[in-house]
Amino acid sequence: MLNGYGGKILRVNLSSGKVTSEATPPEVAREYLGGRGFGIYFLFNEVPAHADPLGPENKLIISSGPFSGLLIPGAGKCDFTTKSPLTGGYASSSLGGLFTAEMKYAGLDCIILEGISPHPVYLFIDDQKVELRDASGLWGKGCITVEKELKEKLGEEFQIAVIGPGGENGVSFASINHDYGRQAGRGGVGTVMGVKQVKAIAVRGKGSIQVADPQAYRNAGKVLFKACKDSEGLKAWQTYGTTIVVSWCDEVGALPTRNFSAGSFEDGKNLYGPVMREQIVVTDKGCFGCPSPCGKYSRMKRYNSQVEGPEYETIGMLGSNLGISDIQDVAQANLLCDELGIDTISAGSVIGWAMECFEKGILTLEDTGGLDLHFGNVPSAFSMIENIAKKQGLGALLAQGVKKAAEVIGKGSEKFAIQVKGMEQSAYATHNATAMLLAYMTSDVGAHHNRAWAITYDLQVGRELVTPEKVARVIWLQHFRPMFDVLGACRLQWVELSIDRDLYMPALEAITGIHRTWQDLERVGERIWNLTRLYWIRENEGFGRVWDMPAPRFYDEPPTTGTTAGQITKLADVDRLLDMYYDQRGWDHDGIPTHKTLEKLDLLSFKA
Amino acid sequence: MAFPPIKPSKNWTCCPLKLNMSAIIRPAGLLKQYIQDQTSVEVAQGFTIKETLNKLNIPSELVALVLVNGHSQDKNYQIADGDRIQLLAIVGGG
Repeated sequence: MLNGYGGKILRVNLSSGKVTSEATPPEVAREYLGGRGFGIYFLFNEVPAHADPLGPENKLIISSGPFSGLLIPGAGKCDFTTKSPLTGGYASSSLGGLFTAEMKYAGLDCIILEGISPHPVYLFIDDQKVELRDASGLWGKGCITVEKELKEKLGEEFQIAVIGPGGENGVSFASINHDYGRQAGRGGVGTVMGVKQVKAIAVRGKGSIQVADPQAYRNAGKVLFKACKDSEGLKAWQTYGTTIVVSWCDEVGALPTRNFSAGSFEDGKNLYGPVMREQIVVTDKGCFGCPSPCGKYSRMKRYNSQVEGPEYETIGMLGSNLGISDIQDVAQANLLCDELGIDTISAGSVIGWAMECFEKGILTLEDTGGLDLHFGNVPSAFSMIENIAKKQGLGALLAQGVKKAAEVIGKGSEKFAIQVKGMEQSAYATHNATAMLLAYMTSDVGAHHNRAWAITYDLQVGRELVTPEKVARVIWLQHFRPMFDVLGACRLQWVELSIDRDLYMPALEAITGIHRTWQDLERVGERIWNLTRLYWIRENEGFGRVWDMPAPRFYDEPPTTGTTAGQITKLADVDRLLDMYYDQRGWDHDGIPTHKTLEKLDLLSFKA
Repeated sequence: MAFPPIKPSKNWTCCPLKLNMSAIIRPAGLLKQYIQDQTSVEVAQGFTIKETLNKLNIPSELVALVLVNGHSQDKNYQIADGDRIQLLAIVGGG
């Protein structure tokens, strides 16, 4: 029995209906630890090269880590990994809440969905009992509606992961929803669940997790929780959550505004965290084992509705990025996306792009089905969210993601499709923040911020500078930060409560019985990073440097308003960033890991 | 009007200016390095947060949140007698 693990990998073959389980391989646990590490290991080894993301060969891998479900701050994280229908490359999306704790208590380190069911089902896991149940009565319904229905039917103790109409209809950026407001949102993990005809997974565990040294575990856990409780930032973080960032991003020119044409929004003040707290927030909400609940339940009186959120990313993408300046409107758009099961970040990006096309005359009323898509038009934005989820009219095109939509529409709209590798950029404008720009260019899922968040570092050392030190910082973050997604815990306690990361190591040792250091873990992080790169190379003929290029807007079109007016990163500097990055990583000029690098990382057996 | 001197509160002994030095600023996390890792500094009333940050050589753009007596304020807030001011930076995003 592996200490700190559930011990089993559950495989559900949806084509045959056969459910099997196997022991979690100890060597995989040692080398990849869990979470995102397990995800890429199984994806690379088990999904055949060039598999259709929407075909039966693709798999959806749900993986917990050694911290998941234990008394470690924020240990409610699991990872959803698949071949992305949005990008054609590696997708991994992290989910908070309570789902993974129940997985572990049921003895499961991974749930791997294989094949395609002939009809809608939901996966029912009640500890050791696993069944595929008919979900035809749930098909077509919204995420929150179905979660409520299943909880009423099965009991509150069951934790539910569910897709909405977006996933059912094949929207390329469909999300998987849980706990009425948490999502594995990015890269189309919900799309893959939908094509497999799996409406939901309900899980309850009754077991416990064996740890190597219970007393040391309790002590190390207490030290971590105490550090969180004593943090100077705790009260503010709990009060505002991620919305702390809105005013700051507006001030420093990082708040995406009107499809990232600027980084400051003239009406941004109406979206700031304290305004949201005062106007709509009802209470705080945390995930499993969280000492600093950053989730916010909000009530929108105008709409007679409520939502968990909005988070910073949603405020940026469905607020300022669409020229929308009322927090109730943004929260309602958030609710629509959650219920329909589509990613708020990608939705905000594709709609922002469509609004810019409309204002430039590239899309007309005829194209939009009569919707006035000027920036700031709230009813049109709401309608477009529904059209995307239902793949109606222009929504069917936008549902393919902004890269593909721009390729179809053309007329120069590719230049303002804000994406990298086909993934829509999340909510940090990077006209003049070179480390953050590089982080987006090189993130292993496409333009997402969570791997390396370097914008404060840009401001500390000089935002326009292009230096080896900046590049090294991005690389270090790419190895270190995603380790939280490997371990199965939230990184926000380390990040925003500033607790000492070394406090986690005694806990990991007490749980697993294996002494490790952050240096060890960063090497695991580097291996995983290179393996995800090999996956991109294997799956995409001609993969190389051009795939790491940012949206031209960030080197070609300086904003005309706001803090970053007139500021832009030069194309030559974009190239220098990549040269330095590849060089430091041991990749060639085209971004391919060299033989020597793969040998050093013991990855030669993985053929790209 | 000249900006009054600012010193770490621990070392503050200068009585004549004490009447002006009536608020406490507590920077958190990475902002502490700009006040030589002190927990707090005593600062003058009558100036804005932004002016005070400049005087302390704390880069204003690194300060994501200003809490005055527990309430969020913008950087144009004018410091009043007895204010307790907390400054937060964001180091890691979402």
